[in-house]
Amino acid sequence: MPDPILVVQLIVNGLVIGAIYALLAAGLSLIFGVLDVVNLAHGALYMLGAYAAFFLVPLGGYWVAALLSGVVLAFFGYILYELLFSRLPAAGGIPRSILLTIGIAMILENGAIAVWSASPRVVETDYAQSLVSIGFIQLPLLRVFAVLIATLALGGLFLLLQKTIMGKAMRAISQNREAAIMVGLRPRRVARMAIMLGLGLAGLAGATLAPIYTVHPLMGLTIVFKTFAIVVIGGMGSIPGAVIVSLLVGVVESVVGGLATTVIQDLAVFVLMIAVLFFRPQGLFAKRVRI
Amino acid sequence: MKDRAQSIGNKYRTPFEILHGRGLQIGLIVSIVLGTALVLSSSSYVANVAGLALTFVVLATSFNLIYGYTGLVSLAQAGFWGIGAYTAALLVVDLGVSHWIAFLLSGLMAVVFALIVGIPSLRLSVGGFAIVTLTFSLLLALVAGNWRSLTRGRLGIPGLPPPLLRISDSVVDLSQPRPYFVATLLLALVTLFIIHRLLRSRVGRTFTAIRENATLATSQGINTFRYRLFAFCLAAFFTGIVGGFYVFHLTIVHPSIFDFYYMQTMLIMVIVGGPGTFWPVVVASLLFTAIPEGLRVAEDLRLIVYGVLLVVAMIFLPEGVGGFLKRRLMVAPEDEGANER
Repeated sequence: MPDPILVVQLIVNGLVIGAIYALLAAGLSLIFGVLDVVNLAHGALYMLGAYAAFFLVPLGGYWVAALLSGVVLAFFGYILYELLFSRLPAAGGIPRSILLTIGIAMILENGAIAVWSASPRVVETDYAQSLVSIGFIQLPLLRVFAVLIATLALGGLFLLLQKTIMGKAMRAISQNREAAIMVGLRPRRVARMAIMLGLGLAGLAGATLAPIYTVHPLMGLTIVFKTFAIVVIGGMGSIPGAVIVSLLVGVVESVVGGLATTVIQDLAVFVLMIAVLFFRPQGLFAKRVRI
Repeated sequence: MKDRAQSIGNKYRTPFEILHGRGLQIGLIVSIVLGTALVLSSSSYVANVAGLALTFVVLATSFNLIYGYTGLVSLAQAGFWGIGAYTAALLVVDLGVSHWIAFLLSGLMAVVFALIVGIPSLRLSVGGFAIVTLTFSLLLALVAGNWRSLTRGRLGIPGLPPPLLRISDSVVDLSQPRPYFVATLLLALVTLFIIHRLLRSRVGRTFTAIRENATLATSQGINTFRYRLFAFCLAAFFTGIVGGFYVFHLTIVHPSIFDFYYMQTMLIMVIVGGPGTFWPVVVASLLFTAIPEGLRVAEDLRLIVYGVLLVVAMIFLPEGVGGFLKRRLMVAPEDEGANER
């Protein structure tokens, strides 16, 4: 029987990493829901967010760097949309969008190796050694900040989707594109905003994890592997599904990793995804199957 | 009306259709014989590059079968390639199985995994399928690096025993550049022959029908799921075999066999060559191996260029060079027909 304190510690760690997964998965779901684009470049963009933080932390400190990394990535999303995504056809473009985003990821990841070299870098912050005690659990301060940032950002996203006109437009388009256009929504503006929000969240995720782990050009590959599984399990396009499953996967992964081997930890998420797909091909939280 | 359409069709065949007849067969045989003679008379470096090029011909044609003809963005090909590699290596090194049986089993092992991944994921949307297959490939790379008791972890398995072929008295080492080239040529020819025959059969036309409109195909009584699964397994089979054969040429199997470099190279060959066109993809595979080797471009720079090509192709020319040529050459007869009316 494992030590109960260890298990609680593992669950808390899992919730922390799950919060970061949620930032990435919510952005992916948003972009998929509004644009019908499966963004395989999400990991590479997360990596860009981490590099942005690496360069910004020495200039403005942790909080300014985190915020600015999100803004930089959102701006990058604006450029990507205007330059590339807006040129994709409205219908039947899914295979094209997948290959397009693979191309973007190839450019960004190999470009990062060429420009910044493949060696990992450490982001120095003032909080690197600080710990917070909550009851009998000890948590590094940086992880607490990561959860705080993720909660604020996701809370903001929910408010935006529920309360603002733009948010309602996004939900409308992801529910029924044709009807949304018929009632006069302008899909271009809405799509651009969705990309900017999604990438901004990826930038935030990169910036908050950068000081916890190291920053390197291929850092997006392993994390995005889990995020994609989360999006499929949660139901593609469902943001609440993505957030709930992110936390679940974070916990499962952390507990399995703490009590078993790395191989089983890697396998756990994949097996969970295949198992869910067998019983619910549309994922846990999607209302309908896309044909 | 139908007769006239047919007579126009007969009168104005596109070069592609003409090429599919006797001319293509003669041209192919001549170019294979000439190419083989040229490679064998050159240095062993040239034979190495040619062997690699033919390996990519099989990989790209398998990917073309699944993406170009059946319309599925399968990112599991890199995974099947690595599974083939590890299966063959482990069977020969750990269990002492004969090389030839090991190569066959590496293809079959890839099919087993194709069934495990394909059955749940082929019911998903295009996007869901792409994500699951990508996740599968990424997972295998992690497992190959971490499952030390089976795969020896990140060090890989060096010093794979070469496959030997006894021809009367002499023994040929198939891991050496020239014999490897000849063996890969035979493998590539058999693969191309099978896939080409399949694509021109009723099954191949059904694949295309599913790609063009899956809902319509279903309404015609076609079991789209079964056909897609078949294409997925077949592509996995060839990819697995060629993966198993390739690592015995490298003489080491290592988690880097799952590197996305292979996947990205396959992608660019099919996308630039023209998804859903047969010979342009074969030519693109040869060119995309030979040109970067000839120019000696560093790998990360090469992948940046490939990424740019992929983005540009997706925005401006999603049907690739092959599809573009096909479309341009097809326009002429239709115009002629319109003028007659």
